[in-house]
Parts: sequence; C-alpha cells; structure tokens
Amino acid sequence: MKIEQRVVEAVTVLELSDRLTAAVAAQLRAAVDDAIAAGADRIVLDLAQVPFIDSSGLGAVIGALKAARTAGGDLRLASAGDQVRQVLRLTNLDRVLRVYDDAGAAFDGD
Amino acid sequence: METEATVRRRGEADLSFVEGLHEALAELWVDAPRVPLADREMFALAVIEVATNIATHTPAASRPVRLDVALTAGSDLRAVLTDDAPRVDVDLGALSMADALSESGRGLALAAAVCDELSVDWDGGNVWRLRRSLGQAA
Repeated sequence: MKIEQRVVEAVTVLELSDRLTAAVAAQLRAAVDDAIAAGADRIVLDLAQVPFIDSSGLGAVIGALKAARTAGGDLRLASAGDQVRQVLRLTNLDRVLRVYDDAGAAFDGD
Repeated sequence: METEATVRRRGEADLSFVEGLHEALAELWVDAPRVPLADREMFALAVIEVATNIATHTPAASRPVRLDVALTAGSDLRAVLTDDAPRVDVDLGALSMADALSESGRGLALAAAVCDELSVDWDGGNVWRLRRSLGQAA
C-alpha cells in the first residue's frame, strides 16, 4: 500500500492508497508509530483511496488509535467510502471512530 | 440470473494468496455484471475474512496449508473454501463482535454478519461454505 504523509497546521495526514487488509496492517502501524515518534499527536488517516477494509485493517486502525491516545494525542478518519463506512457500522466502531468529510475538518476547532 | 459464473483459485494459504482473491472476485464480477455493488463488497468481505482466518491460524511449525477456493455468482453468491489444515475448532453459532478497542477477533463475526449462511464441515480438510442472497441492505 502507498502511504503519503503531509502536515497541515500541526495535523499529520496519512493518505492511504489501496486495500487495507492483513497484508498491509503492519505497514500502517509502522507509519503511524514513526509519525508519533517524530512528534505527531494529531493524526488523520485519509481513506479516500481505500476501496476495501477488512477486520485486520480495522485492527491496525484501532492499534494506531490507541498508540496516538497513549502519546496524548488522537487519531481520526476522513473521506471514507461506502465499504469502509459499512464495515465500521457492522463492527460498531462507528461509535468510536467518527468519519470526517475531509482531512481538513477532522481536527477543525480542536 | 439464469446462468452461473464460477472462478477458482488454488494455492498455498498465505496472505499473498488471500490478496489474489481480490483479483479472482474482480474476474467473477466481469462474468456476473448484474450483481449490485453492495452485494459484491460484502461478499468479498466475507470471503477475505474466512481466507485470512485460514491463512493466519495455521500453526507456525506445521507444513504449509493448501487452499482451494471456488467463487460462484448466480441467483445468489456462494463460496466454498477447502483446506488441508487440521480440523478447526470454532463455534459459528456463538460468534460475537469484539469490543470496540480490541485489535482482533472480528473476522468470522463480520463474515457471519454479511452472509445468510456460513458453515464449516470436516471432510478430510475444513470445508467452509458461504452464501449471500442478492439485494440486501447490509
């Protein structure tokens, strides 16, 4: 999977491209851990280019969320498509991980 | 739908093989273009969850597991995944979704949630059968 990182007004945005599954779960965790180690505390996963997520991908997202919170920050999701939103609903994770319309809105006002 | 389309894959059950099932599903949709997008996405989810379960629950020290996958689209969507692994010990009637902050334990519960039928039988290997009828909301 391709992961591109940019920082906008102290928010670290990771743009993911491709399916988020067991094959790439460790790669996502490493990218988030690296960002946290570099000082990032407000992290957005931009999922606009993620057509498919499964339980392993969700596990990596939850792990990343916990790592960000442990570091005193937070992790939020942006621009998720229908499949990702549906999987969040089915797993009841839509209550924990709200999806923002775009990366710029994820920490707006926080 | 009058005709049925079937796509098969056979190989060693690792995560690379599981990723290849996405291409197998794409082939299936070419042959079954009238299947609604929501059904494609949720059937794919169930197939990938079961295949990932097979690929990642093989004891580390044991020999590689062979996996045979048949994906069929007709009046409904069906998958049969047959492995040569030791018999699995899972109660598909007692699956529950993991807690919100758990990092694992959702795969088979998700598969069951998006299938009308999910079963596993023993026939010299584990035979997983999935069926989803068309045109549902979730």
